[in-house]
Amino acid sequence: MISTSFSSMHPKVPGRYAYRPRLRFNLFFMSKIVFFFTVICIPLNGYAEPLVVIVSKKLPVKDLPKGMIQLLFLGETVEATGKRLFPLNLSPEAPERQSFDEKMLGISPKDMPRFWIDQRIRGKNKPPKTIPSMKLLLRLVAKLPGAIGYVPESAVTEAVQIVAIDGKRPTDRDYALK
Amino acid sequence: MRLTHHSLIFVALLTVGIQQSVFAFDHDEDPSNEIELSSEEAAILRELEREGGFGKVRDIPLLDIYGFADVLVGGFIGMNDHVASQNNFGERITNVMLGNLNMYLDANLTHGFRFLGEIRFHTAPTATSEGPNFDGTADHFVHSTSWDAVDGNTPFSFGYIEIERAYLEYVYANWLKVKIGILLTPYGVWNVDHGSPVIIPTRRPFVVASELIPERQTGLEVSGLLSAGTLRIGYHAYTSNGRGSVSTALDLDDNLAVGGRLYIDTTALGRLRVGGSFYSGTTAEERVNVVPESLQTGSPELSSYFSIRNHELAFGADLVWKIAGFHLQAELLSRQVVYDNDARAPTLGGSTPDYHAWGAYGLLAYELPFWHLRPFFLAEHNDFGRADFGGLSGMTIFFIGLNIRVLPVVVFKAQYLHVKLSSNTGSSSVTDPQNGFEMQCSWAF
Amino acid sequence: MPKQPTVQVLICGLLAPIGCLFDANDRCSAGEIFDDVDLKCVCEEGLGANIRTDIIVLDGVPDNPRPRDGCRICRFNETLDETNDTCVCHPDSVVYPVTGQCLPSYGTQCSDDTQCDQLISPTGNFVFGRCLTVSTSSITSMSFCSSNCQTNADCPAEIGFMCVSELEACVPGDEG
Repeated sequence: MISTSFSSMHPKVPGRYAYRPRLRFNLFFMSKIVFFFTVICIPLNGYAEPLVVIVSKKLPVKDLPKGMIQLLFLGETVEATGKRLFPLNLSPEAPERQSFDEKMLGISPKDMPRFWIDQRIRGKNKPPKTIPSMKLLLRLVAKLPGAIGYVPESAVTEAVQIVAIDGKRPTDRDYALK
Repeated sequence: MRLTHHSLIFVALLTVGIQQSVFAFDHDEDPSNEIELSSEEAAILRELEREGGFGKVRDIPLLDIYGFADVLVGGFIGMNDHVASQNNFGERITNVMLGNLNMYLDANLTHGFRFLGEIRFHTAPTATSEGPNFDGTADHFVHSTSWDAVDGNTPFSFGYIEIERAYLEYVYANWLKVKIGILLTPYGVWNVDHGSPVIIPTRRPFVVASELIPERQTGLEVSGLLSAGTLRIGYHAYTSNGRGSVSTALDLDDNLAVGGRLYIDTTALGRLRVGGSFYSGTTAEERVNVVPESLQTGSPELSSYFSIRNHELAFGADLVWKIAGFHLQAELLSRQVVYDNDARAPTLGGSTPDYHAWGAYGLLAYELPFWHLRPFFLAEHNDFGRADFGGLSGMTIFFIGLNIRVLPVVVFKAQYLHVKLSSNTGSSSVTDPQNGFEMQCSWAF
Repeated sequence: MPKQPTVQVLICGLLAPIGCLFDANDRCSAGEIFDDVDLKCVCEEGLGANIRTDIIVLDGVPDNPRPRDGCRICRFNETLDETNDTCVCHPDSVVYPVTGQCLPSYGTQCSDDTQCDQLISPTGNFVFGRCLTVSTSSITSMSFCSSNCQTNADCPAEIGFMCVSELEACVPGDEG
């Protein structure tokens, strides 16, 4: 299998990113796959660990349903414990953002611009605010009760807390952002 | 149906609720009260305040301006005289026309308030046809030409501006949002999602365009969305002036229309949304005249009556299912109209009967895994329930075409149309099938 | 009456718990019938639409034909125009501007009543004793000898004419 051979060349690449079917035995497409893995997938290796959703420690929210997080990051208004949440996104180029969009929102990075353009044309809200760096996002979430973001688990600081998704922690097998 | 007083009470209660909410926000929830910020964080916080709508109002809200436009090339091939008289496309196939130039004015006003305006710039009235009229004047194209006095009196063509929507929205929570102003009626799929970049064919199906439920209304809407797992339940309820030639500003018979929508959205199997809508209201046209007897008294008196008045009840059902690149979409709409016996809409040589019109369309599209190519097929049927559009009683249209999203902001479309007409008169000159070809380029900006 | 199409029946059936406004067997007003071919309401045979003849100050839909207000039997000096489903004035009548009634005209223009004194129509149906200003269009008005009357005293009873208040015209016959 092509995916197997490429996985062996790049052992940290998640298997799901390999275009397994219908492309095998086609050299032209194989060259594209090499390009894809090199340019797109290798940067994703940095967060092979799961992403986690974080809020300020001042916000008494321990768990949120996945549907609510989806609504929030798709431009809807969501409240938790009587507090309006405001989502903070990483920049579209950040691999963490791309992974979050795909796993949490079910929208691929290439389709995301189209999604938000269509939402504006429909008269819906604009996308969540983009924060230029993860470090800044962590500080803002820590300081602003109501701010909510996502980072790799290893980046979590003392000032923020991890929110379970549908009652599942990052260590659980069927955690949504794994 | 007379909801005026109830609506006023509702608005009053809502106003009290909003004031309380704003008050609480101002004093208890300003996040900048208790944190120290770096200059970078402070700048972002100010942007968040303006865009996200929390904290104290420090600045005039930023206005976002964006929009969409499209250009259409095409027309009908071999059009018969009857249809040509109803449609200024004629037999020309090389028409190039600016379809939409819509501009959005969008501002988060903080504290959950948002303004959204959408205005459309028309090339109309130029090239619209007028008549044939009941007074016998002939059909003719309108030329909206004037002369530019500051540029050597050179001719230019002027056009109309249409307010597509303009409302103030207050979001209390996701389950309770309130809008007031000119609103696109929340029903079906392609009434609110009306921008050409998000519509798969070059135009909306006639079922939607013919406004079996009014396209927009002036009034007040309450809506919300509840979420439980993969299931979401949304609702809309509204009251408005209803239909009528002056309904953007007046409710001539002092009888507010009401309507609503309920839908279920699930991501359990692809993305499936099923909804149902209704609208109930009256349409009235007023005529003011001089009381004849008062002329002889020397002090003429005026009286008014409804020259047209009807009650209507409309329903809609819709479905959108997106799964594995497939896009299945359908809408069914029905409109029942019953006139007051002394205020039927006059037609040539008669008056309009009560009628029950309905229409439905189904769309199947598939997005290929490369180049954002999306071939589609759409079929629609319209039953006018009476003679309309110069004697037609129904119309069936088939579209087959291709939608290409060349960029997230640019869409090319090409489609072939086959139109079958029906008439109770049985005249073949009226019902000869029509064929058309259209290409459209649509873009967001 | 036409049968209600199946789809409409189905939709109304599904919506029965909510309500169904439309009744396929009652689509027109009293005195009207449903024209099965052209799909419009027209007056029953022999009747013409009562077209409102207001002096309009403000009109919501000015391009429409003038509104109708039921159907009626055409009056003595009117004839039925089947194409437009209305009663229209006889060719030898003119429209009185205030009420919109058709008043028989002798066809003679006049400037005062004396020019019309004792003038009887060729058919003998009317006597013309008055010179009336009438409108022949929305902008033109002319004066014709007319049989207009308010009471029997306005008509020459000695030659067998009486005033019919509905027509406001002197016609042959006895009072009552």
